[in-house]
Amino acid sequence: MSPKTVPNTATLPTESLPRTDAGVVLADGGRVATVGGSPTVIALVFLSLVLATVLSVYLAVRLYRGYRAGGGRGMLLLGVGLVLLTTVPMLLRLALSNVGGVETVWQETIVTACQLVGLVVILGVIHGRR
Amino acid sequence: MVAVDPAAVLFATALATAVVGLVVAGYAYRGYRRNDSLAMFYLAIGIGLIAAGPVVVSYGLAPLLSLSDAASLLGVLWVTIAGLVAILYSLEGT
Repeated sequence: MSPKTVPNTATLPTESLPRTDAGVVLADGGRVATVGGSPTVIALVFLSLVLATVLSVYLAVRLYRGYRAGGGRGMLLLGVGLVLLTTVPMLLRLALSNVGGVETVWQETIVTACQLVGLVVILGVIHGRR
Repeated sequence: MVAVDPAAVLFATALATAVVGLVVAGYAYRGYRRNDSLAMFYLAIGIGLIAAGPVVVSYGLAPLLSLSDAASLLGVLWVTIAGLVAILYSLEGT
């Protein structure tokens, strides 16, 4: 077999190769982030995402316990606002990046809009008390 | 139908979130000044970081330092974690 028949892939222009999605498949099999970057940064992103989610869920539990221990309507609404600002957006980030089909820019818009609603609820509580 | 630029929608939403977040943080900061309440101080820091931090990272630091998407997302997550720790500290530590 002549060496000429073996296609030399090393000389193929990389630009012509079909580009694959830059999504990162992590240990859980989910596409956590459709981002490009070094493996170290990607690993840090994943760890930070988990840490932020755990902290935000703990905050929600803490707020709920505080309310159960004797909180009024104001405290309940303040808690709902803080959960919409922190917990729900983190869970949405995790969920939306794993379902696929939602563009990253829309994922971020949904997350940010949820935070905005939370802040408006908190603002409403502050104004209601005046 | 007018085509909506997703990036513009995201920017407007993020900007509105940052502005409202800073207003809420401002109220909490005033509460701290008025009542000398450390809990309100850390709440102000936490809400400010969570609402305005990501905008500063995504639209300020990322283009300034030519950060990759992953590095930018990491920055957003870190300011969010710092904000969460501040809010938790305002509830538990003060």
